[in-house]
Amino acid sequence: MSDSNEETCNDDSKQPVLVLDLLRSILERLSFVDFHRARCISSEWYSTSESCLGVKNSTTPWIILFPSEHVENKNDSCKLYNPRDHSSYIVRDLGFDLARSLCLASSGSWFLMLDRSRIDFHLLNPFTQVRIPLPSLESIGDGNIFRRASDGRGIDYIDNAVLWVDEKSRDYLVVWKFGSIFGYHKKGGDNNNWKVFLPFKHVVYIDMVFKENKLYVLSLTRKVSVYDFSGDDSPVNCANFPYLPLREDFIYIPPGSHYKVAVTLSGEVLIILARVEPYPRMRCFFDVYKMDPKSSKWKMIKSIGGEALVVDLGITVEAKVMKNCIYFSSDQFHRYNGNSLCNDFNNNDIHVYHIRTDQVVQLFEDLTASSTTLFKDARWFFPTFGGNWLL
Amino acid sequence: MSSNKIVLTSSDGESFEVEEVVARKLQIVGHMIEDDCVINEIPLQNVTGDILSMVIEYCKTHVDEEESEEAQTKLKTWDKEFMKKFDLKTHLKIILAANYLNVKGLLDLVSQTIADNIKDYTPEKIREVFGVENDYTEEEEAEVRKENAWAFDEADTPKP
Repeated sequence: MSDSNEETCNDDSKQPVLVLDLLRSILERLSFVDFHRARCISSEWYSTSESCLGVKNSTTPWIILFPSEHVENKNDSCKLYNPRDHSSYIVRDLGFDLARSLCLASSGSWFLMLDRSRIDFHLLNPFTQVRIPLPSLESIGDGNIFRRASDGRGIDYIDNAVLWVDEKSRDYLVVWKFGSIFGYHKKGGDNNNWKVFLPFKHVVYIDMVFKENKLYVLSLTRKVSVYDFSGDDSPVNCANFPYLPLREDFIYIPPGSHYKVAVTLSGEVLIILARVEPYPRMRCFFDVYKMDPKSSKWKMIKSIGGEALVVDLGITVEAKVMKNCIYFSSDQFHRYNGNSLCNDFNNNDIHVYHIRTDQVVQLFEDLTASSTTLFKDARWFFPTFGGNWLL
Repeated sequence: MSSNKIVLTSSDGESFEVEEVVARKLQIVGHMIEDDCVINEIPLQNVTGDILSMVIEYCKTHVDEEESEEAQTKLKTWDKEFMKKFDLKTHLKIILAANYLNVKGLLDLVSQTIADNIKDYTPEKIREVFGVENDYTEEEEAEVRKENAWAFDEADTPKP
């Protein structure tokens, strides 16, 4: 057996040169941050890192925290948190007043932001710091529907939207709802404007999800309708699911609770009732209902199998660790009221909830405790990386 | 099990006599044996004696990989200690050798070791140890750094 402790120096002057396969083998094993830092070494390292991006993209969600209105100086910073290794990062100088903006949706690393005027949307990628303005809402309906606000107060504004970004085809789609009206905008559409459609007058919609070209909308009466966006024309209603009967009530909303719609990996539709139980201590419970295709009835379920539900995204994903769990952040009930994330009412706001046992299995107290008044909104998202191609 | 001996010769003429099972851990050798079973001396052009001896040491230790958890833990500890003996420059030579000789386990091990070691390096330091030339223009580098700006931020510290 040779003892190799001593340095043999016969060709030490020669610098070993790595072939790209070997460089990739090393880059793949770097932590997230170091991986991205390594891209600054040279153009060859950059292009090699591009080829491992698929490997590095996260399979567990991260959290993004947006600054609250009480933040004066750094209102264009946000915080990113990777629960896997408990690392957090501050992204500064995004050049955009995030404190008075609302985040309405996300897709990969892209976030749909409604700015303080409440009629201007942007797509924002905090990793690349790229921001893309979307058409203003001012022109819709002869300018009668949306009014410009100076500080986001005192007017009704859009509070529900979906964003879909396809990294491969480089397309994006935004859909928002405002009362009974829906508006959508596709990248590269025939005109640079919003298109509006009105599925049913006088129906109040409370939540929606976009998956695989289909928009799933949930009405106040707990009915789900599906619209197909794959064609060039207006979206087509392609499926309807019956009411979810609860307590014989058309409109049953326990105090502090709300409904969400979600779609599983295989395309099954879920309705989630997130409800707050005040006693013995304030905490949130989730009831999950699934459409049973045989009986065409909603059934309460206690398992979503090996999947995990990300409420902020309205989808389930294949779970590596947190199987049959719900990733939950600040709920809509107080998402936009400007409260900080850490107060008596909502201090359990960011957590992971196990569906079968109704228990919170992971809490992120440190995250909110260390930023008492700094952040108002938190969202789970799946970071993706890869340049600023959307431009 | 065969107790055939095989002689491996490095580019600088150093020879190592090893058992066939050990030599077969080098897949390049394994393939040669399969192609022509009478070989008992194999010249290896792209690896020097000092590095080859390290690869052989690794292969000897990993020659019978047991499934038991205890054995696996023991091997992992050995791997760690083994890697600790060398500096980064030697790691780079080992990764090249492991690639050329096609020793999968060692390739994984040394890749991970290098990744762990360079993680706290500045880009300047990484360029130095890897002998990589910075071919970005000033503007390009600023652009790439901006793209990855979040990765350069220090970990968040609690604010008052």
